[in-house]
Amino acid sequence: MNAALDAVVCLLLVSAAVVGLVTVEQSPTPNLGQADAVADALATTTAQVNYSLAPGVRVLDDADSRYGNAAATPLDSPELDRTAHGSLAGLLARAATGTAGVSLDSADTDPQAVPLTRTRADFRRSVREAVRARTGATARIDAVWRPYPDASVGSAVGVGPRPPTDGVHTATLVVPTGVEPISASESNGFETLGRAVADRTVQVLVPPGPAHVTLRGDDPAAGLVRYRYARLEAETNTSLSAPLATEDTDAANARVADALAPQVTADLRSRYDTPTAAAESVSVSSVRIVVRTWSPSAEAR
Amino acid sequence: MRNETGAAERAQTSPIVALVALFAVCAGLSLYATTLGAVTPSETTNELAEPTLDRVYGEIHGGGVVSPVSLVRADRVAPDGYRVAVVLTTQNARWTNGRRPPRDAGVDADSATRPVSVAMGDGDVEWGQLRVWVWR
Repeated sequence: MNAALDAVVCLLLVSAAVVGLVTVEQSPTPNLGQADAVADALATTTAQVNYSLAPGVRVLDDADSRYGNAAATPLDSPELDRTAHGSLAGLLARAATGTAGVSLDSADTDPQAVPLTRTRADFRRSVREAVRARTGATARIDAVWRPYPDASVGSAVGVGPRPPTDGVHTATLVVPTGVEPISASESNGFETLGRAVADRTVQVLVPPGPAHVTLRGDDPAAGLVRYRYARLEAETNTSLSAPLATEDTDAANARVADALAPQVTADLRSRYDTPTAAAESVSVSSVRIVVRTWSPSAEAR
Repeated sequence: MRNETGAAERAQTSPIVALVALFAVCAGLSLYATTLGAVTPSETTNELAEPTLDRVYGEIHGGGVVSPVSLVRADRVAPDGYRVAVVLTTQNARWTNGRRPPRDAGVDADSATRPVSVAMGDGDVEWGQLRVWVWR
């Protein structure tokens, strides 16, 4: 009977080996290239998108004289048509910063959900369509701008279907927003850091140079910029009528940043031990684009 | 004498049990061998296409952008003894390196694909697909 026992033990070992072989070899060989390839192509491919400022004009109040002729402009007027050209990653970053939301009073609401103004709503739609047409149904792209984690200002643009739970490859792309990164001298204390972050956040929300040029002009876009400032006035409880009377966008931005800085400082102070640690997590000067890809068969599973 | 007989009887196994055990062990080993053969990738499965695609892309791109005229250079990085067909497609255009993948029966060509940026003549950089076939 010893031989029978030996045979049983041998069979047990062999079947364990078979099971091991099958489970190890069946795990899919990771194809790391695809997400990277999509990220590279997003960064280098250029595209032209046409859009309209009509969604921004639609919400303007006809009776309010501050917005000039903007509110009276017909929604299908060619004066509202715009064309943008750039790399797909750059367009995604602009769509993210252009549709950023601010929710200072209510900490519960997600700033990503409600944009400050609807001026760039059609731009965002066009960019999403342009990206979706190229990346197809097995890629998800998320462009996120947040000055710092859980900030009350921020935005996100998502393109593509929701990825499956496993078998997803990820690559990340960082696109500059055009503002200077936080320098070492600004991260000495929470006060200076909070002020620097608030300054740059407002600079991304309303770029002072282009806003100044637009305000001087008399096309409908000037009314849209005034409305954007009016929304910031309402959100931050400040008065911008004095600087805006002379189109001084730098002074107007500084006032908004003054109102924003205390909350930024408090947020950072409550979340981080040292100003240096807080400065490292500040991402006001860049938009993160996360690319996730998967194979079509994984989706079917 | 008595002792020796008893020892000899204890050492013996009944022939039926021995045969069944031998059969079971052989069956187990052959099951293992077949499984090993089934899960080990053979040379003709899609093992060459992915690395070749990476090498072809490395050869023909500059700064992440592929120029269609550089497709002819793909032959330089083909694995020894293999032939490579490359097709670059954009929304409105298609380029090859002058070779077609075999379509007749009996020859299996491995293929792999990735998205790339394609430099167009007018200075635009368009979204495209690079596909590589590898076969003997």
